[in-house]
Parts: sequence; C-alpha cells; structure tokens
Amino acid sequence: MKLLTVQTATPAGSVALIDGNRLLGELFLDVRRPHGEWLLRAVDQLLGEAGLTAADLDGFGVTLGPGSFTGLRVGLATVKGLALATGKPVAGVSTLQTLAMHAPQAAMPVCALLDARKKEVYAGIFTWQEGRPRPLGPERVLPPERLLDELAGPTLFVGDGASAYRTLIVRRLEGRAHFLPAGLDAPRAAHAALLAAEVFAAGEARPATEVNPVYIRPSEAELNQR
Amino acid sequence: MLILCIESSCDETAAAVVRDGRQVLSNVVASQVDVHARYGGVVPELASRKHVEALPVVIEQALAEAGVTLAGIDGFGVTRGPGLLGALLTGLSTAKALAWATGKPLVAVHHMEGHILAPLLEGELDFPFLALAVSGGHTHLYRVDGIGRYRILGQTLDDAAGEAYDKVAKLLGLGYPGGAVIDRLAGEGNPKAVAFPRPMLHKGGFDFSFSGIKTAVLQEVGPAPDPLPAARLNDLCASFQAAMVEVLTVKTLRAAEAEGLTRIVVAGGVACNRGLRKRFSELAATGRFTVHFPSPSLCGDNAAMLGVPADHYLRLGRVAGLDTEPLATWALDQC
Repeated sequence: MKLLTVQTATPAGSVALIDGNRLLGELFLDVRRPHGEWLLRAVDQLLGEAGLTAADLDGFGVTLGPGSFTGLRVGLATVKGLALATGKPVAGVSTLQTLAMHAPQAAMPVCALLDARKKEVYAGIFTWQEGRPRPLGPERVLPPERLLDELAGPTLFVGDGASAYRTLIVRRLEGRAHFLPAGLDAPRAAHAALLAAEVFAAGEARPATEVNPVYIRPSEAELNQR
Repeated sequence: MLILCIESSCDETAAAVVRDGRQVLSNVVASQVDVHARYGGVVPELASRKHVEALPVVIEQALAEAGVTLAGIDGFGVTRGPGLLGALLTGLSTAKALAWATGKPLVAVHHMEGHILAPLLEGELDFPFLALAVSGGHTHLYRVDGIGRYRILGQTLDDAAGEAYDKVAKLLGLGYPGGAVIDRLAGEGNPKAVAFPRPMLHKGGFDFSFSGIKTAVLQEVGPAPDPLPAARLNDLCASFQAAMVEVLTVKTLRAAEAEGLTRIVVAGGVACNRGLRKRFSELAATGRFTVHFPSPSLCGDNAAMLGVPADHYLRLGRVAGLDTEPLATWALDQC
C-alpha cells in the first residue's frame, strides 16, 4: 500500500512516500519559506523520482496537529485536494506522537513538546508498546512549569519545546530529565507515514470531508470571549 | 470547457462549476456569518478554520449540482488575492493540489476581477465599461477595457462602503453584519431627517472616504445610545443611506462622464443594497447610460464569478505554478 504523507505543522516541513513499511523517499525542508511554496513541488519531485503518479497512491497521511495553525491548514488543505482528486482516504496523525517516533523503544516515558509560544507548550506523553509510542493521556497546551510539576519519574524529552525550555526542565527534574541528541527536534513525515499506515490498517482512514486539524488551542478571539 | 472555481478570500467558502466562462452550472456558497456575528466582525483565524473544514464539502456539492465529476473538469480557477492571507491560503492550497493530482491547469484569479466581470455570466456586455466595485473590503472605480485590461480611477482612502455600513449598524445597535438591516430600515425612514456629510463629493478625482460619515452618525447618536425609538432609527438609517448612495452614485457618474463611458457595472456585496440599486436605476432612466447589476447570488462573494476571468486566462495559457502563494494586497491593474 502506497501512502503519501505531509508534515507541515512546524517550521521544518517534510513529505514522505511509503510502500507498506518501506520508505521509498522523504523530502525534508527547513528553509524558512512558506510551506505552500515548496510543498507540491516536493510532492511532485518525490513521486517523479519514484516513478509514480497521484493515481498510484492508496491514500494520504498528514499531521493534524498540534502545531502552527497556518502550517496545519496548508498541509491539510493540500491533502484534502489530493484526496478529492484521487478519491482516496486520509489518515490524520498527531504531531506529538510523530515526534515520539524519534525515540524507538525508549525505556522511560517520552514527553513530546512543541513550543506553542505565549510561554506555553503543546505536550503529549507516550510510552513505547508493540513497536509504537502510545499516548499516556490527552495532548494539551499549558505552561511548561505546570507540566513539569506532574512528571515524577525519569522522562525523555523530544521536540523544539524541549530545546526551548531545556534549562527549566533540567532545573526542575535534574537527573530525571533525558534528552535526545541535538538535531532531532523536528517531526518527520517518514515517521508520520508509519503512524498513518497503522490508521489505514485499522480501517480508520476517512474521506477528505471528515478530517480536520486538531489545534488544541482555541483562537485568540475565542479565548478573549471567555 | 468546464472550470471548477474556488473562493476563500474572506468569510465565505465557495465553489462553482462554470462552462466556457459564461454559463454557471453550480454556485455553492457556505457562509460563516453565524461564526463571526458574535465577535462583531470577521475573525481571520476562525475564517481560516472554517474554510479548511468546508472546502471539500462545497467542492463536492458544486460538482454534484453541476452533474459532473472531476474527470469532466478541464481546469481550475482560484482566488489568489486580495483578502485574508490565511483564508486565501486554504483555497489556494486545495486548488493547487487538485490541479496537480488531476494533471489539469490552474488559473490564479484576482478577487475583484471576478466581481466586476460577474455580469458576463448573465448576458452580453460590451467593453469598455466603468465598474464600481463595492463590498465590505473594497470600494473601487475601474475603467474596464477588456478582461485583464483595467485602470484604477479611484478608491476609498479609509473604510470600504460595506465596512461603513456594518460599523454604523453596530453604532445603532443593529448587530453584525448590519448593512442589510440598514438598507431595510432606510426604506421606512426620512432620508432628509439628518444631513450627514457627503465626504469628498466636491473634491476632484474619484477617490472616496467613508469614515467621516460613520463619525457623524456617532456624534448624532452618542457613544452608548439607549435603544432608539423605531421612527428615529429608521430616519437615521435613511439619512445615512442617502449620504452613502449619493456619494457612490455621483462619483460613479462623474467618472463615467470623464472617461466617456456609457455602460456602468455595479458589483460586490453592497451592490445588493436596494437603495443603491434604486438610485442607479433612476439615474439610468435619463438614458445617458446603462447600469448592470449582477443578481444577488453573484454580488456577494462567490466562486462562479471567477469563471469568467479563469476561462479567459486558461485559453491564453496563463497558468499558475505549484509554488503560487496568496497575495493579501494586490492592485487590480497589477494582475
């Protein structure tokens, strides 16, 4: 089964093409240009190199969130167009779970953090089971201090939120805080693709009309009305 | 040639199928007005969120109502700008993906170009003509010598006409969006009850300014008015509408005369305004010029209107690349 997966939830974006569990190719770009400018060119190049067209694809994967509101929409609006054109379904996956894929078989809980600005982080805690990171609770947006108060045991931190608040994390957790090597901050479409394949295998992929972003954080206007 | 058009520049998610740039086969608009009403205006982030949800739904509906599938579509048209950047980005992203995956061409269209060419969807109209484009985001006078041949004669220096209507409606406690309510109440009131200013009416040139009228209404009613008696409210609406309509019609006619144009198109959301339609029709009865209003369904934001320019540019081969980005600001004479 051939899946094209798009990841534009973060400043670094990527697209990946898998066939079953085999990664045929991935294009990763952290070039600080609008995702909308390079995304379809990258898709075009990736499929071209693989000798495939849109019609050869069995479906699409996409990181639904959390992440940059605009980034999520560029990715999903693009995937919706691809899905409508091909009549193939979409599997949305979590950006945080995708980040946790950076730490296979971690012996301790993996805390995936994305910098949410405004002194908050998007946070998800995962534990590795049956070859995949499984969520230990709902994903949230909250001040890092509040999250750290809840973490008792050794924890492995991943994501750009872990880098942004590393000093704070180390101060609070001391020896219980563990980090990945530098350079593994960004979620990868290739990892999202493996999670998306699981959604397809479970028969939970949906038509384009039924998949929407998971922002977690309400819009500014909604927050101000509360 | 069948073109599927997509529009998402503000708070309407729209898709349409148009044949040969003239015949509307379907015209689907999903309005977000309920979403924004409680905030008293369009919230860009919420507009973008709604667009990404609604896009595939309106596209499927537009295809179904036209009785075609994507296989029968020859190309795509999409609004590239001007408008809310995040909102434009949703429609453009979906349109680019549809075009790439189907191997069909994409045309990126100027939103106002759609509005002022909308009358071509309903009948013959010869060039050149003068276009008054009036909506919540725009108030422009264009000389139109053909599709793609535009000259900006004048524009608002502050609020758009529709924006002035909505702001005054808020001042009068009529809620948001209240432009249509003012139009309705104006029919019951005395247009001469309050002499609101007619900004820039006697200045040279064809630019507009509407914020002064809004301020004059505020001064007339005070900052936090008690609920106004119905008769007083009707008079205020009628007087405000009279000022707006006089400025818009007088400037438009003056521009038509200066340019030697006898055909006038009035397009955009405010072209639905009955007071404006009535006054233009009265003036046209003098026989010196003809006025063309699109039907109401083609005045507000819609995707069918994009079909006219999209078809034209597609035939010329002016196709958008996969890297096309939206433009929040974009002058019509630069498109």
